[in-house]
Amino acid sequence: MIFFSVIIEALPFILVGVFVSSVLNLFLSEELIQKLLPRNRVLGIIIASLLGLLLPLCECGIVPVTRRLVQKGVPVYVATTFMLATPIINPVVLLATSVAFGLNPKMVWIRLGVAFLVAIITGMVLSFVLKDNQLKESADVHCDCCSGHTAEAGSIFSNLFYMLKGACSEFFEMGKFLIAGAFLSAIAQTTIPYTALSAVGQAPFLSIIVMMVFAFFVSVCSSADAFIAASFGSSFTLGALIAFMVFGPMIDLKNTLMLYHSFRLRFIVTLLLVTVFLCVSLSYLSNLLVGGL
Amino acid sequence: MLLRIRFSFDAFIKTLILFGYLIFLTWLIGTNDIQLYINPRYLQLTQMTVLVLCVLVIVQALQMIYLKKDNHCHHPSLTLRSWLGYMPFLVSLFLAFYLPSSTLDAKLVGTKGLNTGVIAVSEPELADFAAAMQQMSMIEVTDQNYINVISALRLQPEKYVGKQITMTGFVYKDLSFPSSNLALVRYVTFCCSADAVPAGILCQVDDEQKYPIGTWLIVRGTLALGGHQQKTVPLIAVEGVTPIAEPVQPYIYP
Repeated sequence: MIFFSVIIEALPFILVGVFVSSVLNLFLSEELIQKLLPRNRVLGIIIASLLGLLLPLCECGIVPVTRRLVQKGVPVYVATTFMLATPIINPVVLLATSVAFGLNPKMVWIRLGVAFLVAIITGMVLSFVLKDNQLKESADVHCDCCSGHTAEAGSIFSNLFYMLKGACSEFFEMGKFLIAGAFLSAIAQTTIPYTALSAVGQAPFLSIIVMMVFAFFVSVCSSADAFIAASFGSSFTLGALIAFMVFGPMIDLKNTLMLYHSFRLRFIVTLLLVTVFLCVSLSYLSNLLVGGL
Repeated sequence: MLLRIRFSFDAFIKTLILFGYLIFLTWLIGTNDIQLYINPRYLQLTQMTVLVLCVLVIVQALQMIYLKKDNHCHHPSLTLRSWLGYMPFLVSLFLAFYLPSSTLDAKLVGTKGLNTGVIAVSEPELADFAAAMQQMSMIEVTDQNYINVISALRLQPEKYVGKQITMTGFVYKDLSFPSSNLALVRYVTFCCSADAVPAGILCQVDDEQKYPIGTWLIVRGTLALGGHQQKTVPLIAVEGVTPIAEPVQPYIYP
């Protein structure tokens, strides 16, 4: 039941994701990217973290777009910053968060700030650690050799058809991970008891870890997770709620599965380590500074 | 150059899968069962998904038959690996049609945890609502005002003691409840039933054993104060109970 809910809710967004990716594939040339992309790596990362304000994708549709950007020659650290920041730093999610925490508006700003820092620092770290584009070679298998002739025709109709075709095949590539993720998270939702979680809810450090693990497995959409966090309300520390709302949209089960399909294991492990470390320490910090612990 | 018409089995399966999802969603919208899955506020998103799927089905169907020019172009044949790739789609579609639509049941309340806080409402709105509610002598809880009433009661339970209340919900009990108490609960669902939060009010009933977990009731009573897990909580001292069938829309959608 929850399984289908997640799929039905995520379907529109993953379709948007594959369409955006397909459009990018067609209309965004590598030369254009090279021209638009700032030479400065810090500037590139900061711009990437703010792109979500223009392109409000939620985390269900972000992986196909990220992969496409990397394929098009965007440096992997810039694309990763984009992937981490966009599901949180976008108007829809901010609105949802401010509604959910109507009685506690500072949560919106803390969430925003922590997400911004995590995305940017992760981007910086990755830019020093990783050299090439980190894509699995096999990710390129659906080659253009067969359909190349339609792409060159150039009329609007054939472009459109080509785009739809691309969206279609990408939907099938990504969809299976969405389904698998939805399935696992439905199991997690019906078996992880809340009472076991709230037992550690007031421990300043452990509560953060518990909520991050919980966020990873339940894979709730980033526009709805603020409501869940708000409903946990008083039984958890502020840092734990922030960790739930920052880490969840950035890294969760279904996204990791999709990432694993396209990127090398080494990249995913590095990404996980860095974001987990940053989320834990920044949430802990917000516990100390704002949470009054 | 030799042109040969080929049939792509791969594209055929893909078309079938897309078509299956199309039918599933259309069926849910048509029977209105969709409201058991997602907040009706997002119905339009699903309707758009249906439209997009329509287009994709056509695009995919067009690829079933293709002209083969020469041998240089290899279309992937159906290997075991690609079959495995289709399994999640096929299995989920099978389940979609095989399993009946159902509601989140009362047993899940224990896992999800009964909500005891104030639920997402904006502060000024709640203040206005609470002010109006304090003037009423009889509070009727509806689907529309559910969240406001529950939140206002929890914020200042003492302000409403002695008022009459009627409310609909299903029965939930667990070991932490004082004897002869049960909770009358609704699932509050923001986006989809994955984020449903069970929220309710404690009720004091003399013949509590008569109402097993999951029974839908309309309860009439007087508001009082009770204790649960060392906290003062609102409590309904029940005067009348009417068992009912599960409502058509079991969830509260804010």
